[in-house]
Amino acid sequence: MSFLLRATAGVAARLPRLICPATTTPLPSSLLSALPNSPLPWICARHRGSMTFFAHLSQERLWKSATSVSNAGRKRGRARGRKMVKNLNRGQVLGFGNTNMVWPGLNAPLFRGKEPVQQQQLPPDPSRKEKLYKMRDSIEKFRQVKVTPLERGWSGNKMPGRSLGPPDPIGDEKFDEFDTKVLEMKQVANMTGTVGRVRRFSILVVTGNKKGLMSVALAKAIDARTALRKARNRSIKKLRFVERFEGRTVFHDFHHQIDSTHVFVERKPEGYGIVGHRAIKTICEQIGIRDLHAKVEGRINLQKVVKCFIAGLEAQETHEQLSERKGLHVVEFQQEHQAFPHVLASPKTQPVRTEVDRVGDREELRFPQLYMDGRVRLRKPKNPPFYTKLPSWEKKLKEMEITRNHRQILEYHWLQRELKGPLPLYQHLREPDKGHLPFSKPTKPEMKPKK
Amino acid sequence: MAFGVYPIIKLNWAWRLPFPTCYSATSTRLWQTKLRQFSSDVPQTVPVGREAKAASSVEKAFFQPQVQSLLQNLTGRLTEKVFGRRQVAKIRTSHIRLLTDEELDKARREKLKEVDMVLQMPPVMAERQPCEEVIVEDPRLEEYNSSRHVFVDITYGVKPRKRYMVVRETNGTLRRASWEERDKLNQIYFPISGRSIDFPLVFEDGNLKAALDRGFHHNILDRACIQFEPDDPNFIRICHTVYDSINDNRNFSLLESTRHMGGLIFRIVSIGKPENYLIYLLQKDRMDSVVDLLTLHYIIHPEGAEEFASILSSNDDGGPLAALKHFIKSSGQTQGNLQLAMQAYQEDQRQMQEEERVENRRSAG
Repeated sequence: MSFLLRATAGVAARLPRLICPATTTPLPSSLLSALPNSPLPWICARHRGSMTFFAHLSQERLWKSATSVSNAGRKRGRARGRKMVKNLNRGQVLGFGNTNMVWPGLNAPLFRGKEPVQQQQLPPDPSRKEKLYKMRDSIEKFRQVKVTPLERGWSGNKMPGRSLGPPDPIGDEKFDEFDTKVLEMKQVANMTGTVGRVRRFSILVVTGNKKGLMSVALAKAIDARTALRKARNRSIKKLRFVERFEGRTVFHDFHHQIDSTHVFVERKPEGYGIVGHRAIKTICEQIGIRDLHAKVEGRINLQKVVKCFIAGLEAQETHEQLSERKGLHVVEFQQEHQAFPHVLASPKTQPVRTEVDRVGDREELRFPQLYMDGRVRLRKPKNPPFYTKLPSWEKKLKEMEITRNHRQILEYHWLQRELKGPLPLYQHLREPDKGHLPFSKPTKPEMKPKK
Repeated sequence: MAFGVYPIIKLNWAWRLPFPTCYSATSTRLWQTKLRQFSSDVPQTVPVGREAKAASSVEKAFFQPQVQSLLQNLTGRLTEKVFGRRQVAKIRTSHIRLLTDEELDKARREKLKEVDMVLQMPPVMAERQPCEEVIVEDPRLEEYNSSRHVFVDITYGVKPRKRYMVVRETNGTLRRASWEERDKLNQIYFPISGRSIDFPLVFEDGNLKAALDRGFHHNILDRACIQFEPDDPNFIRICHTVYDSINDNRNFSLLESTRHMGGLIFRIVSIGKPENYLIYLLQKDRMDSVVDLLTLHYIIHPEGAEEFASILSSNDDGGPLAALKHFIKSSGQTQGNLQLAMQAYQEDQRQMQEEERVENRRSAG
């Protein structure tokens, strides 16, 4: 009998919602006291194991259990992928239910003409439930904005690298041939006396017409969209022209430095493409530079990289200026033209110099080194493959030592035997290491007797 | 690297050549070096087919020194064309240098030395004669095998034309290999880069016509030079097709300053159809070239040559025009267009002279 009593006590606490799930008011105590004599305990005891909490918890409490995140958890980022509370009653109207009833005064007028409307049951509407579900799901579903691969930026759904289109027209002036791209989008903050930390979006954009005109602009606003618009429209007011060699690359290799950021830029042949930092690549695309290699060394702060690269581009010297400065012809030798000299520029205001001292290093006349400030870009050697650290590799090397260079030695001696005498194009032959050969001893220089 | 197969001979200068290193098997690199002495070591073969005979009349005419110099004159040496843009294995960054006048001249002169090599004309030869020759017939070997056997001497350093190749037929006959077989086998054992063993599709009639419609004459001729020997009937046929298409459409500028111009001029002169080219030269105001072309014409067709020479040498100023008139009169065909072109040329000359006179008067006054 004791288990029964315990069972009834448990049931007593949950009973109200079993009877009346829509209300939260507990039953009167008179009813509770009468429970042991009622037939209910039997039923409750039998169904105790399969009782579901959906039936006796309020909607708010149920939702809270599924969606709430503690404050500590929120700080650790657990609130990021949180489910949102969904209104499951959306679309339900008072007076309309599963049974298709006409209730005058509730869902129908009391009188139609002069005749009072009768309360009646209409045939059930089979599509009612479907409509309800559809309305509930369609409105509440979170829709992710899909960006096509062509419109995507450098990474994921992020703004940097994405196009913003041309700047807004000023008066009648339209800028349709320009295009703006985001270089950086970040949140910055400052502290104020009254408000405290004020967060804003800082946005760096580049605009260009792909024919040499370009500009870079930075704008801040509390709203990201406003900041983007501000930056885009500010950029068109700061246009500058960048000269390009053959309309596709830079005039010469150069090095430029701003603070601790170094940029090494190399002139490249047609079809090379743009190789370098993604911001540099985007800037080049907007200017209309198609072939270039850039390497950033030192601090890679994006705003510094952009500033440094653009300053380097602006500081370039055209071939005409160079030839004027040095008083010499600037001549190009291309393999595609069998290295036939092609004069790019000749001095116009002065005669060409007749004497040049190329041996003494007083004056730099080597074109690739002219604008490098005496610096060389770091070319990292390739890391050796992992297996060279294994003991088996050392073993293999030891085993193979005996056959080292055999192939080349054989070829060399075969050629010497076959051709009898000095080889044609002797200087182009790979000469083996003679010290290791059993059949060719290093020749000693003949000693001449001293007089 | 402990092991590796490296190319033994490195040709540092090969990229400078505008055409593949050797354009035919006869000019393989090895015999240009000191390997000639070795040809005495390998078994000497008896010259067969065309080689046994003296050079044909076509060859004789083409290789005359005077003809060669005239053809070279007519070819032209435009540096933009000779050193025009060509395909390279990998486009690298160009070199830029700062030069004085003297250094620039020197660099130019160095490169101009290569012009002769670039413009060296592929030889014009008569078609080769068949070279199959039965050596022995052995009926005992009949039905011995279902396929033919080919025996090739692959000694190092023998000229492809002299390499010994014989075929044992299924009926037991042992014979010398035909030219087609020789070409194939030479390509198998001593491949020339750019040459394919099978007949290239581009030379089939439909494709050839399509290529010529698009103006790929130069490329077709270059490819033919790599693929065929100069006395191969296919080579001669393809060259003639290309030359004729140029002559008919008056696209002479396509081949000017290239090594194929000589062959083209030799072709149109030897078939007696130089009118289109003469008109082209008159329109370009190139009277010197007209004289060269007519001289060439009278070397190859000697009828009326003496008269032509006397007219050319008699009048010192109007000589060339008179010689051209003589040519138009003496050549039996109707030369209406040529006549018109000459009159237009004369008219232009007259106008230019008048303008000069007016200018002289102005400067004097």
